[in-house]
Amino acid sequence: MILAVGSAYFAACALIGWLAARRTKSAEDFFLAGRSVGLLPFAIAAMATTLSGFAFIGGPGLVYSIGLTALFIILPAALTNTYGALVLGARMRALGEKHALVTVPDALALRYGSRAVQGWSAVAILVGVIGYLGTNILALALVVRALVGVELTVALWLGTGVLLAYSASGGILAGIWVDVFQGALMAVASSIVFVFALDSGSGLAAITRAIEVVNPALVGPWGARGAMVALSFFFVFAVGSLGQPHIAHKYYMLKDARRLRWYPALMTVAMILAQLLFVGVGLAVKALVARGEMPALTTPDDATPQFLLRYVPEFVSALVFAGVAAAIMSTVNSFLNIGAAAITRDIPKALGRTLDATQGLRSARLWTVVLAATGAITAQLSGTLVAFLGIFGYGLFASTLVPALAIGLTWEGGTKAAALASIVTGLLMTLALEVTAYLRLISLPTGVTVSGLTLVTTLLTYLLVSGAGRFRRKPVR
Amino acid sequence: MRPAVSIGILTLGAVAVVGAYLLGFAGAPAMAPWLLAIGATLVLTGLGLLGAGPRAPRLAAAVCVACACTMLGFAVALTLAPHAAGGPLMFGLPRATALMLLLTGGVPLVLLPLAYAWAFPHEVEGE
Repeated sequence: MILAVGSAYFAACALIGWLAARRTKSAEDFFLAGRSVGLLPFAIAAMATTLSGFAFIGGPGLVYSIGLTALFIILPAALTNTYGALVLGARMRALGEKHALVTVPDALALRYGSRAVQGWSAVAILVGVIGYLGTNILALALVVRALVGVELTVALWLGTGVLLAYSASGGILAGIWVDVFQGALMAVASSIVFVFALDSGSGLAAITRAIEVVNPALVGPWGARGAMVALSFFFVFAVGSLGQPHIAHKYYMLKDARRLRWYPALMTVAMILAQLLFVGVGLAVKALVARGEMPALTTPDDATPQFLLRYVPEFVSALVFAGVAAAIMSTVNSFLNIGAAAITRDIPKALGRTLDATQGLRSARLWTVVLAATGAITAQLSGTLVAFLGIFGYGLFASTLVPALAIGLTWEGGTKAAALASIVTGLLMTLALEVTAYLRLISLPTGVTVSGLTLVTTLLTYLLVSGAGRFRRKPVR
Repeated sequence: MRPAVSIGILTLGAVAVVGAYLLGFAGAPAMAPWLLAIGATLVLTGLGLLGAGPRAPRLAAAVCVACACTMLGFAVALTLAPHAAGGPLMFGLPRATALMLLLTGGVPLVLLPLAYAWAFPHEVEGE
């Protein structure tokens, strides 16, 4: 059953990609879906891109091991679903249309009148993309292995092949079409499993009572890791959401700016449905283990697979596994797209070179293949380094892009020097701290994270350098 | 809200977050989570007010109410005694957890998207 659903899922993705590829005629189609995306596909695609496999596997595992502390990773969505539209949405959509912008570094170059800002932000994006790709492609390989039952190496290249079938040929147009299919699958699978989770635990109150016998702090407001860790998660994931380029650049694609009106409401509904599994399975499995109805997990990441195997009909399990693959593939597709854009548009433009439309499309397809292959090889060769690469991706985007993009587009007082200082500081500080932490050369106290520390440093860098007022100011028009 | 005020709130929040992290290096005394909660909420308030712009009173009000509820939720969780086994439940969760989730998650989740849709024709579209 799982093999049949998995095969049908991958065939559907490839088919949708092939259909979209036939409509991809230019670099604008490739990177921006021809600026023709309606509200519903836009919201579902944004949700699918936002959530990676972490929402289905890592997240429930984290709830299982540290309780409600993990909830603070998704709790900021209560604010950020609207903040995306409020801070970035209308501005990026309007600037994109008026100035034919394609990428996030394009917007920064326009805002600050600086090629250097465009180049450095593109470099930061590229570094983050390469990190994310390795982690996500490895996660995809694990899911493909579970779905199709092949060796990990075969699964890795099979998953990468299906991804490329639509990413390289149809670009983001294919990505959006496939995202809609994948996002709907994720929401349906998550909602169904949530019902099974509550049912297996005999309701939320019974689940709480079973967990509090083991450790009441797990279901306390801050979870088992305490207030500092929970609040640090909240800070990084709330503020950091405004610096994620694979989501921010989707605002260029919206067909009609007036449709943004209902985007936060739609996004909220989609995100709630898709994240029910995150909390439901983590808590239910903890309660089932506490009651002795399930053996203790070997590793927290087994929470979802073990729950599916024991408490959910096989067809639904197959749907969820396909949903996990969907979550990963939609995220990877977006990373491939912004990575290819950084290499083929932003960095050459920063160096004073541009490609014509035909060269641009060919080059974008070529670099999409190269990036995917690089990600697959990284995933295959680097062992524990892959996990490290994934960890610093979100924090790198947050620290390098939130000040220059989110504050810069909304405040005329932000300066070019401040943008450059915050981007370079974020890039160097994230790399230095993450590498030294990975090599165990430094150890941060509980609740103090590299991503939080770097984000707040770059925020203050941007504000202080702008406030110094020694540079020419250029308002947004 | 004037941009200078929004930037001031944002700066104050960032300084509070730095203070919380510095206290974290000093062993995280009880004041550290309070500073982090206040700092994170102020940063978000500042960003939201900047996003709303100077001529959007409805959006600015919605941002302020949502962020105030978020801070109130954190304050409830930091103030109430830790949950003990067999303690009172609300909506199937420990009372402090349920109250915190309601204020920090529930209110902004409903309020902000609806306020944005309501204010959009007057305060976003024209801008």
